[in-house]
Amino acid sequence: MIYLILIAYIAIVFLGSLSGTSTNTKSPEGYFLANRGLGTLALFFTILATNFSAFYFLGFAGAGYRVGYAHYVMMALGTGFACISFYILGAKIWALGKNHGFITPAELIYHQTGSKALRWIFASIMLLFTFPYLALQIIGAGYILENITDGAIPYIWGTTLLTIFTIAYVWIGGMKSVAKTDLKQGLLMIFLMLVAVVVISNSVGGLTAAHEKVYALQPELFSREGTGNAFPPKKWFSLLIFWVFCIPMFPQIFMRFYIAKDINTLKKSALLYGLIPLFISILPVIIGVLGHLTFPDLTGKATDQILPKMLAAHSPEWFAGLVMTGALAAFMSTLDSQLLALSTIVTRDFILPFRENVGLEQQVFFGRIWVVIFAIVGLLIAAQPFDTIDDMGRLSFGGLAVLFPITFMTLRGGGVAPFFGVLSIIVGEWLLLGFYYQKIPSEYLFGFDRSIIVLAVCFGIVFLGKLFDQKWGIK
Amino acid sequence: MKSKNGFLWIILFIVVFLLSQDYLWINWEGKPTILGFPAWIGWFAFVHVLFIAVFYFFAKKYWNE
Repeated sequence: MIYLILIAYIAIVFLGSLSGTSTNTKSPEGYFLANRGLGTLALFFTILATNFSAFYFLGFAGAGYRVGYAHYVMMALGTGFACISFYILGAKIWALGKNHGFITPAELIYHQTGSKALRWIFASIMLLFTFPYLALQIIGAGYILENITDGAIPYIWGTTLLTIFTIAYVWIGGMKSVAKTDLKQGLLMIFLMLVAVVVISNSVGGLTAAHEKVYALQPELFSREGTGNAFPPKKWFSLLIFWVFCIPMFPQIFMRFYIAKDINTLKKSALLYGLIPLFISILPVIIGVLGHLTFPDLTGKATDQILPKMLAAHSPEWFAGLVMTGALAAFMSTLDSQLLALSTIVTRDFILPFRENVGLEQQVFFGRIWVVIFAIVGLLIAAQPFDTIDDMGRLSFGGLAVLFPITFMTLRGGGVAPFFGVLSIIVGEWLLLGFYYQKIPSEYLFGFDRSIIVLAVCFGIVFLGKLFDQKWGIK
Repeated sequence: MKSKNGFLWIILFIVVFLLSQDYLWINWEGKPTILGFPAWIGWFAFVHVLFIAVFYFFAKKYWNE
């Protein structure tokens, strides 16, 4: 039964998306950016599906299990606030992309600053820090396939199968197939998660009664600060503003600002993007919180599997299979966007500057080759996950957010000498990794989240650069 | 004129953000209420909707690029 659902779902959602895409995949703009012609719903869902991934399905449920409802509010309101970055950066990125034909983020940075060094370091950081997030999708697929097949497909085979399938349809369809998949996938994902919450809460005695039972067992899950005071005031402040800086710096989101049909499309997508997390972020968190009734003793990475475990324990086999296949497809819709974005970056920012005679179709071919290479790198990282889904995601997000200050200064701050841009990125990443690997004592965070301290230093460097430039003409 | 309006919008967004910093004036109880959810979730849902309302008018009246 499970295998039937798996095959049927994938055939309907993904193969259906490939129809009619062949005419769009002959040029870089067609293959990488769907000819810059996405309407509001397609743009919104492709951004949403890109964000709500293994980090959403498994990560939110796992964090709900560990921290409680405070995690929901932090993520929903934090990502809701991020719609403001559609205005701060998105509108400028869209306009410049349309006028100058940019495809990658670093092409825009190069155009605005004229610095090859800044272009390459910007593109390299996007590549490097997308890998942990990319690997999360593959890890999630391994967990899911192992759970829904009762171990018949072991973790490593699950990760490999998903990777091969995603490579295949990104190779054929490019951005157009990615966006079509995201639209169907996004709608289905929201519906299935809603039904999953209803089914599970009914099975444990109804939502109100189940909550009361969990409250009696673990009241901290209902506290505003979260279990173990997870969100004290300074951390709360940090995490609520962090997403404004982080989300537009995902390469797959940055490049989606290019593909809006017009500015109104971007505005409406921003509004939807701000609103929807209020409703959908709570769904996996509820399942995570209720998980304490059935699986009270999970710790560490095992908490990331609370969603498939609860579905297996409280819903019919066919339904658990359907939801988990939906989750699997969500991981694929994030993975495909990331692979496409990264392959575009390598092709356009690292190959084209050295081989100017590369034709348009050859660019697409190079892009496809890099999709394969990056998928294999992701698979290798997934073979031995180095942290929980939540923590791997946050390392990736923090690394990408370091690019925000120089992007902001380039687009909205009147520009800055490239040296200070490069300096802000190097210092920012050094600090971030220092805090992550505990080489720099956490006392230097002064109670704030590490990403905000890193961002403050990066902003300080670019503003200082601006000041030097204005006062003394120092470049 | 436009920059003056821009300043007002910044103030509005800051006010909404400050409403999300609830620890400044209240210490919530986590006791289950409607459907078993803690009451403070309702406060944040209100702040979220308020933010979206402000953003809607911002996009309509100010965002003209």
